[in-house]
Amino acid sequence: MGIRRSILYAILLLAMITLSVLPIYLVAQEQKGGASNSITFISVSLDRVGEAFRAGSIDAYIYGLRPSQLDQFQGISNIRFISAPGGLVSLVLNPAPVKTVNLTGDWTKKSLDDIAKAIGYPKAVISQVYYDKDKGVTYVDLAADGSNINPFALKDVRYAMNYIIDRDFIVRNIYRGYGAPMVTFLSNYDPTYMLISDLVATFGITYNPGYARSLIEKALTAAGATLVSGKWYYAGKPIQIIFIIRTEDERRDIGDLVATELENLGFVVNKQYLTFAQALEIVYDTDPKELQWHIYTEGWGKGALEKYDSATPAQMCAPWYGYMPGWQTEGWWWYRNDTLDELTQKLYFGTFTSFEDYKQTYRNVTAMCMQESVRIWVATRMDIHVVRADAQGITEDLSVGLRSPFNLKALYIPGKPDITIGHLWVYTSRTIWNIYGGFTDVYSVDIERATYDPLTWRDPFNGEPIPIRVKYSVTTAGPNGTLSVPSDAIIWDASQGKWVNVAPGTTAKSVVKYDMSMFIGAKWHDGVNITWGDILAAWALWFDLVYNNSKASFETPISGPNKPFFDTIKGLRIVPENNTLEVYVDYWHFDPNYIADYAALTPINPAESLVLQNIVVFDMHKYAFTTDTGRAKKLPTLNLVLKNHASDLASLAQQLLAGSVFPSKYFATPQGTYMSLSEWKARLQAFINWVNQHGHAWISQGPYYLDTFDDQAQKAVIKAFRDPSYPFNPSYWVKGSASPPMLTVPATPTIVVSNATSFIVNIVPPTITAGGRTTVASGNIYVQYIIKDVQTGTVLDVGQARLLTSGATMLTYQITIPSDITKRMAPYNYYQILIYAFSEAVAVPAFTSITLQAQPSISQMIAGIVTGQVAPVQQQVSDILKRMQQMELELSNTSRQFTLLGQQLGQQLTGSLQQVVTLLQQQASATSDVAKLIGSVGQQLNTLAINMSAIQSTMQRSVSDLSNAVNKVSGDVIGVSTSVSDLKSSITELNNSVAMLNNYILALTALVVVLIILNIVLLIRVLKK
Amino acid sequence: MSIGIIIMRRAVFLALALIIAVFLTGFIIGATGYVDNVVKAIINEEVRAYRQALSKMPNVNQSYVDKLTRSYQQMLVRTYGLDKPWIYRIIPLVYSTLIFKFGDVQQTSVAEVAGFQLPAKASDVILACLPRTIVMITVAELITIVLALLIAPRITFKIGSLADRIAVIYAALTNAIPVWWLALVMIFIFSYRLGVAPQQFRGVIKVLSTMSSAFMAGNAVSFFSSFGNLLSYVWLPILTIVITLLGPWIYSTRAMLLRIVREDFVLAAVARGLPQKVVLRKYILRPALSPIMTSVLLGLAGTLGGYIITESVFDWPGMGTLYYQAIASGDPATILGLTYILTLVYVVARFILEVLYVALDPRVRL
Repeated sequence: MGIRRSILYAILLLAMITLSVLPIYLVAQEQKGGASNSITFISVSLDRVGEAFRAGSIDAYIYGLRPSQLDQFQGISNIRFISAPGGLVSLVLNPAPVKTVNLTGDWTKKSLDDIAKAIGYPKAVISQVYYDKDKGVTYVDLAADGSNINPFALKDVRYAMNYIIDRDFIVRNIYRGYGAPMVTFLSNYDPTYMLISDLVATFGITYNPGYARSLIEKALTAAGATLVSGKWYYAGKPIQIIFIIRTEDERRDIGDLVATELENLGFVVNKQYLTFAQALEIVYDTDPKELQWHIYTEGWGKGALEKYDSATPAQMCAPWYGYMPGWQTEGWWWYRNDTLDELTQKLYFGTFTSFEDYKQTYRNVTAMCMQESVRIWVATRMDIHVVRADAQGITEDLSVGLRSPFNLKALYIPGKPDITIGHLWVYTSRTIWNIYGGFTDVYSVDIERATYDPLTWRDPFNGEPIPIRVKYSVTTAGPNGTLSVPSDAIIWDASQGKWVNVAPGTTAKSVVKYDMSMFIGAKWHDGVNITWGDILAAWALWFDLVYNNSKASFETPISGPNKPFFDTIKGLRIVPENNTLEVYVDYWHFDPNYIADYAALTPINPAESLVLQNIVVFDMHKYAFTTDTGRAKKLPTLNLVLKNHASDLASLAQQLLAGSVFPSKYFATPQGTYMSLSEWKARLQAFINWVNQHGHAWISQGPYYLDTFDDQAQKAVIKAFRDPSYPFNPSYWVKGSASPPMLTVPATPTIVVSNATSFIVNIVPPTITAGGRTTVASGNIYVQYIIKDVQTGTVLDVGQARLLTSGATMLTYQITIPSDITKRMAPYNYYQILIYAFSEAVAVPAFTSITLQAQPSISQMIAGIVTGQVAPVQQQVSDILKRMQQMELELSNTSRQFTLLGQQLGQQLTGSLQQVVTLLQQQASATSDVAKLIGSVGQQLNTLAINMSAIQSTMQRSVSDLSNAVNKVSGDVIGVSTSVSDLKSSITELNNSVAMLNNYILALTALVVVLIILNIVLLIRVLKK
Repeated sequence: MSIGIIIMRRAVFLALALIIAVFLTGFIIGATGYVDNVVKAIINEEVRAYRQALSKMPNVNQSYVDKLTRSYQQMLVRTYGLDKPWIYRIIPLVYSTLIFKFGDVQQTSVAEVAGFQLPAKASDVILACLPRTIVMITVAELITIVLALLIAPRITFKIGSLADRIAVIYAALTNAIPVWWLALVMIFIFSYRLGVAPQQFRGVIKVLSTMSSAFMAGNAVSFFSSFGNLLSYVWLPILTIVITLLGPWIYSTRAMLLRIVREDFVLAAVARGLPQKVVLRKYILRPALSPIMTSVLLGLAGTLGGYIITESVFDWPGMGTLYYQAIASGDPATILGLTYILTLVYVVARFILEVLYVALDPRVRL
């Protein structure tokens, strides 16, 4: 009884333990919010990262390291590097003239010859002609004026610079492989590169100093310079190039490399090794025409991954944007190009009408920009981030690597719920945490992004906008049509300071319907419910900032740039029943995701926080939102993470609470009110509590909340927001790693000149691996090929491969090189086929190249022989012909003789046989052997006869083939398609046949002799009897 | 002439030197266009950045971009005062600096050194950086001096002895070693290998600011409780500096003493059979006091200028970093403020020396 009871108790106890632990386990498995319990951000300087990992004081480092800084990690094994494009390196050339001649009136339509005549200088030195409408003067810029020369004012010299840069060497050795070569403003790491890659390849830019030398020689000689013992001279002086080389990073090595190439080309290079400020002072702060510099090693930060990057062409190619020499500074000489201005503005301001239009414009810009070559592109360099090898939840974001919000939200280390991430800084004097004018440095942005969820974000692998905490549908009538905005849609009226219905007849190009279910009903970090009031206030306060004159003029750095966006917002419509927000917008893009991204306004802070912030800035003028306004008006910039700023906001909240001040205008629409006074008061109280508890005022809605921020100790702690109303588990953020498509050519093709060639390209589609599962990424894959002459670099053909079969794990494409392309190839020349596969899902393309020797066609072979040795071959052919005729004759004689011989033999045999038969009949036993023998001889003879006729017909066929061939050869030399080798082999065959025939004849003769002897023996025997 | 008049004359002379030094600094940075050039470059850079930022704004057209950029540029020009000639900006600033009304810091990078955001007063920025330099460099120098003054006399009589040779070799060695290099080695050993010193020294900023606010509030408990915390940060930099400075200090003090040791009156005293201690105290130290005090006071005053590279190695933004940043970014208020403060300290040190000379050496009165 006692034992039973004990067992029962034990079972009960076990059950209790299990049941109590199980829910904890389940909760742990399905917990909402961030993947780690907390993340502490600390500042670690770049040279101490290795030591910090070694000491175990950080688990990840998210500031980009340079390849040269990786040495500090030697001997540390439990880490991994994640790289993402960090910046671009280019050389900007100074195209300024040495002299400008003014002509009255517009000369831009006239020919260069006319202009040259008018100014009295040779045509070859005219570098730019620009007409100033206001002054009615045409400025003719000269690259050389008889006493001075600027080689880079000559377009051809600039273009030649492309060929003296050994980009592969730079990437491999200077960037230690952490880079990608660039020949234009985009590289393989830009999704938009897909639109222009083939075009870029047609330029065939490679490291080819010989070609550069020839281009430069032509251009400089035409401009009047002379090359004396390998050095360039103009007006008796050596041509000197001032090369500004930045010293802080790899650009120093790149500069040295390029300088050496320039010296080899015959220039005197004055290398000036300068740091940031010194270099800028010369390059950007002097008139290019002063020619204080010729080349400068520029560096650029890499922007976000953008599927359709419309700004970079303007930035890197177009004068209007202000990044080309002259820098749009009044009174200085400017590089001008009206066509580039016009085309890049079309891209930049979105005035294209279709994808095709966009693509074509992009290509035109690229081509012209490359021809102009004011910037010579060198490489995309990678930023390297470091993380513990056992870290999980990593998304290998192709744009920002480990800094990606996907990573910060999902990163965890098994068995270590509290992790530490190092950054270069946590707080600097530029670190401003407010959504209106702050978040201009990476240090604030990187932490902020872990604390809020945006409506849309960019796909980490291809840069296309994707929904994050929303679902949306887009309806558009663009680019040219319009939709009518419903009359119950609302718009903020800044003059009245309230929400009103849109004016009747309001139209918009597109409408985006956002399903806000993942916001409405969820909670802010301070525990307050997210409501429509928050969404309305976010929009209303923005509208007011832009359109309310007193606010707009106070914070012009915000209102100015944002006004054009809000001008396009035509109305909002709230449909609370299905949690939908409709945004009517005058914006169109061929990709609807871009429209949804454009019209999205994420509620990042709760309404009361936004209202308080706006009051301390615009009503109290105690703070500014931007550092610019702050500096101009000598006000501190509102920084929600600073304790005293947060306290000011909290005491304002206290005042509002005490005075029951309720700004209901932001929450009331003609259709209803979305905030009550009691709710407002509860929110203010929650805000005050939050500030008291955390010492800062940053309240948001993401998977982590900002727990503490210590500016002086350079430390910030974020903790997981485990509220059950929060919609996402950590796994939601894991996008994993993307493998780009893989490309193989299973069988190397053979190119035969003048023959069309097809070959197969197999593509393994891109995959995305997340949480141990690998899935094939959806989206189209484009396969392009380019055929180049290896020797000259000229492009013979560019084309698209055709999709043959499409399987889940393998796609087969066919590339067909048409005969009109192979016709242009020279036999035995080497050609390179470059094959690229681009996928819409993953921005990194696959690439392979095949180098082949073109094979001559048979006709070419013969034509080659004929053109080389016409007479001997003709002689040979006629000899062959003669020999053939002779052989034919011999053959027919032989066959006739043979037939005759056969007939005689047959007659003889018949006679002999009859005699033999008689003999046999008489002497059956004695002659049986002989009879057998005779039978076999007969059989052999029959076989012989058959063989003979076969040989004869073969011979006849061969002979007729031969005679046909020979006829063709003699008729039309190129038409001798049955090759000489065929001929030769036929002859050999014929000779063999003849030899065989001779053998047969010999055998036959021997047989006849034997038969005769046999006959004689028989006759003797018969006679004896 | 009475001592009082002599000292007064010296004081007036030094005060004049101070005013001239500040005025000259203002004149140099203003008239040469140095500040204007640096600020113009900064404005241009900011305008370019602004234009680039505009590229990320949707739906802005070119004329609008131009308009915004222009007005932004004008705003910056006004903010930095470049719309007025230098004389209207710098000269009033020189005057206000001289009466201790330091101007506003213009450049974010300067405020950054102090850990402030704009707007900030140059005086606040300097006051934030000064204690950092004092607790590290001045204290280290002080310790070095005390050690040197204790050690040097002891080896003065033992020229050529092992101790003397070690001191000389040590001096030569440490004289050749840059402080920042030793700092790197020390951090590597003590912070990362042995783990007895902090890896991040920037935390000292917080400790110092807690201490200074406790000091202002008269909260002695909080002040002294932070003291241990301060020590945990400061011991390694101080040790580093002491190791490097001690050698040269011992050597130079030894040289000063040696010169006197060879004087006739010392030899006579030794010949008279006076005990070594008496000879040292009465015959050597007394006459050596003037030059020693000169190097001590001027050396201590000099420490306030900070060590640029060493500060950067320890991530300890003090006066050196501030001076460098102020000059690099052309921040006139801070440049003038720093020049004024450092010259003032020097002038005061000189004045004290003058008084000491007079007190110590009767010959100076003439």
